[in-house]
Amino acid sequence: MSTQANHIGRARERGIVIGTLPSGENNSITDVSGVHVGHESISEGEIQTGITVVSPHAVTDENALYFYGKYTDGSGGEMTGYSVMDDFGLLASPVFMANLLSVGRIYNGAITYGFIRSSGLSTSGGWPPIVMGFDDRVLNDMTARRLTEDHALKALNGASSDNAEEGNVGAGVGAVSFGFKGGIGTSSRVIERGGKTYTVGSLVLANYGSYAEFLDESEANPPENLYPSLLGVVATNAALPSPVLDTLAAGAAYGAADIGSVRKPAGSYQIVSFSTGIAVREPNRAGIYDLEFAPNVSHAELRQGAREATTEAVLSALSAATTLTGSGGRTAHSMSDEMIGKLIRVANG
Amino acid sequence: MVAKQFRVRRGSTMSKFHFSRRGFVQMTFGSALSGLWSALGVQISKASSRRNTNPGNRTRLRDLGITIGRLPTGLHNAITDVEGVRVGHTTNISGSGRLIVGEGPIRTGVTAILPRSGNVYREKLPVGGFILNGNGELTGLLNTLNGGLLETPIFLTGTANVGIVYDAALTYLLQEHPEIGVTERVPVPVVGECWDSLGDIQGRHLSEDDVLRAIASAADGPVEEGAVGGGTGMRSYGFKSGIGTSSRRIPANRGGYTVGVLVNANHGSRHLLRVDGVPVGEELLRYPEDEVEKSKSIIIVAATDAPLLPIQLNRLCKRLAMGLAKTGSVSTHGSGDVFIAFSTVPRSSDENVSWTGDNGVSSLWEAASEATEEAILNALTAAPTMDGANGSIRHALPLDRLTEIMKKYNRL
Repeated sequence: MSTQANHIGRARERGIVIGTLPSGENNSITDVSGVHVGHESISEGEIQTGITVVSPHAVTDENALYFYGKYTDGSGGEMTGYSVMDDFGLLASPVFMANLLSVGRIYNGAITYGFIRSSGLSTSGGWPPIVMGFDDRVLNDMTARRLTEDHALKALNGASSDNAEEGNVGAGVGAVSFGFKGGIGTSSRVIERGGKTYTVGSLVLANYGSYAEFLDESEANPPENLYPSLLGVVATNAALPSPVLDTLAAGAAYGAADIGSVRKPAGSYQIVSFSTGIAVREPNRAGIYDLEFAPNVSHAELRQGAREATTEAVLSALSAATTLTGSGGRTAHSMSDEMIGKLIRVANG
Repeated sequence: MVAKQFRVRRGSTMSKFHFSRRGFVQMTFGSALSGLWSALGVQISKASSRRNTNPGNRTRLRDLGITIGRLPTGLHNAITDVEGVRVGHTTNISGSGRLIVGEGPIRTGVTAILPRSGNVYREKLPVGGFILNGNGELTGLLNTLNGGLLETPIFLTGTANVGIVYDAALTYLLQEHPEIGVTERVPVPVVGECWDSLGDIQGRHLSEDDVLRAIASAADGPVEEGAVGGGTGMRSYGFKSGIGTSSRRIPANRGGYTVGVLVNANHGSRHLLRVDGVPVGEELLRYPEDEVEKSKSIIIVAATDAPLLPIQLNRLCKRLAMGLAKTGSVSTHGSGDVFIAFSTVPRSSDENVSWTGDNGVSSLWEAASEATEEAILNALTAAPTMDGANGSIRHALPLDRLTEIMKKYNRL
């Protein structure tokens, strides 16, 4: 596994440069302080799947609330915890990605985690579970429902602040993207404003995109998702309120669409964003908090950072993913440098 | 009659009962204290077969002579008055005394609402939602709000059970449609929760089988109310509460449509409770109340046979909030008040869509508000006193005091 210490990002290693902002120290979502990433994978014949979890804090950290945002378009997907995100925008929940037929058990595992942290399942302890569902049936027999509550707990317990794995890992094990092997990718950007430095990082599950983006015949019968989607988590240490975090999540979706939706609809986009910059600790009675947010002038650049980091994360996912034969003997090939180049050229018009 | 599936866990000497449509068991919980349940506290008496009696439950608001609003109800004054809608419950009650996490006492269950007589996965229904106060879970909201089509039954249960119910719902859907996940889309189950802490909530005493049986037992006709199904462990306005339902019909010259509402009520502080405008909660402030927990949610489900677009169903959901407010709620921070409404007029195609013009919706809004207000009050009149973990008691709303107060305020 590539740890933070040596992570550059597969896209960057190939000389692909996205945007103009500098990347974070290790070009990973874990450049954002507090962020922990965990993966659990199953890669056995017909079963090619897994879960990925991204948390704004270590599982052993004291209970606290963080600001969250989201962006969703398209239907047919799942994002549990939606009501709390939409109305309160303050949670502590780790964000899971799991295939749609496994959402229930992963949710149940996250409930166990919630009880461990708070016998009353408080939001500051990590309730409600945020589980985003996706469809990986091309390479994975989803109906076998092999993922369990234990996988959720293992992913949480194994989550670390220097996990920068990409490709066929966690939720990315069975992912298919643009007719090739998809997977997990991550990247980060740094913004300097008003004498302060902010980092914004993105982690994506590239399970979207159509082969039709290439408009050529080089791949015969490319595997195509019937139900494609791009799932993402955007994190920042900039202290931002929820509506602004919504715009960062939207920026990430734009970043994924910059690569993915130029010629053909690429699927639905589901992004959760959060800030690790403010940790609100709940008092016993209503009180007044003094919160210091990042200045308004930083918002546009932070959004641009989310956008660039997400585009690069997608390209890193495609670069890192390796050829896999899975359910039904179907194969998704690793995207060659040439094809990645084509994808970028299509995106640039 | 809604068939009731009632299963008792190990540790009790009661055997498993199955109730058919013909007969039912009268469960009386009485007002005795903690010894009640350890003595099994259940008196089994001969069934009466009046179709609109709620087995194991006390009474309905209307049977006390209290009327809400001016519109007539549907035949059974229930969500099932909307044709095709069916409701089933599984109720898990056992044990008493000290809370032992993982063992008991058990006070939980699940309610399944099947939204149409046909197959909702195959032929989806328009749906909308509204988040009044977001401290609650209603899964599938993204799909509801972004897609506007309901494709699964709606489930109500305790907070800790959501994952179990969600997974069981997928098992059911896979059984019915083995092509799911193979050649067809994976549907997204709708599961709503309230915090039913009367028993061992962390123990999550609900199985996949419990959920499947609630689905299998779902029926039309009168709906069991009170401490049943997903409402088993709930309390509302400082009284024992749970499932409640009601319906309204709008005049023929407005379309003659029916709006049915079913609630899982677990919200509110006693001092707020109003019955048809009367400050019943204030009048009963000194009536015994268990240690007061923070307000903890209401999930409201509405159905209508009016052809409505999803965006109109979002709007209908806001009127459920108005009915809720008439019972006194202010939707406090801790209360997860999340609503969903569907129309039973299916979308036969994307091109051919029926809709009720906006000029015709206000009668439906009035119906939605009235039905919600009455459904909540029915949950309170139906639920009996029930004990819970560590000797706690959730006292039922005293019906004699209620009628006395209504008379005092000239509402009866």
